[in-house]
Amino acid sequence: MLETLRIDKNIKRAKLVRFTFNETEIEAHLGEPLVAALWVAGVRSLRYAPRDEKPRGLYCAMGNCQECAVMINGMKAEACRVVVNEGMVVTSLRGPR
Amino acid sequence: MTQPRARADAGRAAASRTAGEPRREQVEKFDLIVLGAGPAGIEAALTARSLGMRVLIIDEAPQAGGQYYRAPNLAVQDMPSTPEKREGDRLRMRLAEADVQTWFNHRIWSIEPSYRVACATGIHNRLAEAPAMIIATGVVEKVRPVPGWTQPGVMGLAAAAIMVKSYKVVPGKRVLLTGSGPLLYDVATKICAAGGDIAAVVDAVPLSTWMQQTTRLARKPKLLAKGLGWMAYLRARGVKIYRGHALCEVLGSGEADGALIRKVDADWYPVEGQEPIQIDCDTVCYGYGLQPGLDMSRLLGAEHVYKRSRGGWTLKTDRFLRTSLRKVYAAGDVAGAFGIDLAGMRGRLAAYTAAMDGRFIEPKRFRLEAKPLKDALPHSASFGRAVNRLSMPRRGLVAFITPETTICRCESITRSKLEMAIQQGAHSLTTLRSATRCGMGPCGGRYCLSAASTILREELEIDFGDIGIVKGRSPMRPVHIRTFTQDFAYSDLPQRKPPPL
Repeated sequence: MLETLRIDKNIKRAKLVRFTFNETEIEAHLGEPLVAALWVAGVRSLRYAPRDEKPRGLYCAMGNCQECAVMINGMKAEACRVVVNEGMVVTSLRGPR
Repeated sequence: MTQPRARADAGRAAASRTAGEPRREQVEKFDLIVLGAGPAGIEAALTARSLGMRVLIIDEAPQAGGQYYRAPNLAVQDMPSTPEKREGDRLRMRLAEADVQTWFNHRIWSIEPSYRVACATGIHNRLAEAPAMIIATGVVEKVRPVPGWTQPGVMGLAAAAIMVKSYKVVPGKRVLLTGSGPLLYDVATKICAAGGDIAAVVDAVPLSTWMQQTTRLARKPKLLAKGLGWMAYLRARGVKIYRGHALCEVLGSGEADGALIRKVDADWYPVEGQEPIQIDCDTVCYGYGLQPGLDMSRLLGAEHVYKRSRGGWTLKTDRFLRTSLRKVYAAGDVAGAFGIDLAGMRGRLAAYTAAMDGRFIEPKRFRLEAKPLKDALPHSASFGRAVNRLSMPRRGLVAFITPETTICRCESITRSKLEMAIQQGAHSLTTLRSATRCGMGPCGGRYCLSAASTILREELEIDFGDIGIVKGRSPMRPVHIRTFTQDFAYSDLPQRKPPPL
């Protein structure tokens, strides 16, 4: 059983930084895809769908499906196409558009 | 009135405008634009440059490589080398050293005729123009809905591959991998090698279907051996492999928390009398092979053909990779999902054809250098054809889509809503889209429209070839409004003189 979902086998990563997701502080490596940092931290539900209000999260990991969309510093962005930066403020999209 | 001088940086251009003057964006001009910087696009760009063309290559990823040679994420400073990483680095190096313009992190949102490409990068809009284009947009995964599949913790096999290869993250604590095609075993092996825990590998293809394709698969002994190697590796690690079983439901109340699989027959219908098997897992990765990614060619209105052996709907080309549109060519999997093995060759051939049509090279040189590439393709593609036939999702999967199952993830549209619209007369994909909004959400129908086709096929008893595909519309991807407006002050807005009272 792995202690963390991050693959550690001889992989050297950039320094650790902190960002927030819905006001919870999360630690991740600078430059890591945001969606990966959230995933490793156990955050899989990233938003609530506009019509059925059910949770959604990473699905395609390549910028196609738009399921991992979040708000970053006031702008909508796909969490799979954004990398982690120190002090980044991330919040969920919720409910009707 | 004099126009302000256009600048490359749209933001600065906005600042330099005087009030009331229209915004002007500079258009950067090339001989050829290559759409997509995967293995086919890179080879196409390098070849075209070597034949004297001024080339621009565009990709929305931060680095070249496409999905197969996707670079590790930016946080990774050092890692053990793998053959994929070495080959990817080699391609990236060759591209960096060549005199080719590269626009990475640029998302194409529209293409206008003959040919102006609009990209969003950050909050900037950037335009490029060229008389010729090579489409090298690769593939997307084929997905089929099941109850519970919209829950976080469910993802495509391609997504799982990206997580391991690029994010350097295992997709879950206990992972179920299911679907069809080689990616299933490839991803399972990668997760296993990274120390991940695999609940099971569930392959919808029965052993008998595998056996039917062995002669064709054996034409590429190296690739066949690679596939058999994955299976042997997984068996040696004690991973349970189910063949002829398919995912029928993802369990969970909000997030994935287990799955049900069922034994299926040759057409992948559930076998009557066999109870579902529950798999204990927290993550489900599934996909049913790859199909050409046709965003660009659908927007341009190119001709497409439906061919199972090519992965489904495919950009139609001649043997030299010309599409039905003037000076638009197809390189790599977009002209039929034949895989990495042929990508480079198809990239080079498309570049030669573009160079000859644009009179950058003489027909004599074209015959000498491009014809051998063209002649080698049909034979080389037979492995890819066999893989496509093998992994093509069969009709029976539709039996797992219950009336309440969400088909369009963006708009949360269920099977019963689609059926109601079909009964009311929405008999084509286009009318079904208009009637229900299925495919009108932010993903642009990439994931739902092929599933919606399966519902149309059931209801109307017609073939995919007759159902067709829908025309693309811009913006192809969501673009932030600031990309068009930039930052502006009230004084920037054009003010008309009020009419006399």
